[in-house]
Amino acid sequence: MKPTTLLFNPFKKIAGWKAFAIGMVVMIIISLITTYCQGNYFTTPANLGLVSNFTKLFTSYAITAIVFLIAGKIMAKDVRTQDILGTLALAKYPSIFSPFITRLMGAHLASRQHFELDTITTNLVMIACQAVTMLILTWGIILSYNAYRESTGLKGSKCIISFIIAFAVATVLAIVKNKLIF
Amino acid sequence: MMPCKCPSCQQELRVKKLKCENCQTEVSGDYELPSTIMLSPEDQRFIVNFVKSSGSLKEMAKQLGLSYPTVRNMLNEIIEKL
Repeated sequence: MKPTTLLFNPFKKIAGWKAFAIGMVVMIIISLITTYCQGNYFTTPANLGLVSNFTKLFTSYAITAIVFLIAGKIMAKDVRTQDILGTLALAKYPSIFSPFITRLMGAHLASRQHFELDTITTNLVMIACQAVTMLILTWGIILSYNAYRESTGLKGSKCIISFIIAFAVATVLAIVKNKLIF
Repeated sequence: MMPCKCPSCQQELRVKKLKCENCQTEVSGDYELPSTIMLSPEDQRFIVNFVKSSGSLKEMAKQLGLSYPTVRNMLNEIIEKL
């Protein structure tokens, strides 16, 4: 697989339940990293921080997948459920880097208070972290779009418009979920 | 690849004469080119492989090393061209 294909459109090679399984593994890894970065080290077999992080991540993914599945079924014919679920799960992989950025920002703010670092340095570090976060988010959106496009076979404006609407609905539902449940 | 469109006005070409290399018999008439000839060599290869796979997209995906939806999208594009 070419590097650009792996980065932006691995769904040409991997889809369906295989992609779903890889996506689940990725989400577990993200939950593990997030839990570690939060300082909740694994002292008991049933680590509640890990379960909570995974549940938050999985419910956000599930909302996105269901919304895109509905959009795909409405806009295209012959859409397989496992293709949408799998490709959107796999599209989560850039989020592996997010906990590290959050941890870096938190660590820098803490060290600033401790070592009295100047405001300019702090602001530059924070801006750099925000820029990297935006890059990761953009990468995730590109992957989600390619996942949707490959799974549904839609092209052109039909694909773009239906993706934007589904993405907006999924984002709103995820925010509502976070406010009400988590 | 056999030309299918007129290089001057881009209209579809038609077959006027066929010839037997063995006995030199010539058959003249006005025949339409088969629709599969209009496709690119890659698309024609895809159709042949599709038939050899008994119409199984899953089998095609394994052979080509691509995902199922990608192979299905390729088939849909060929259907649109036809």
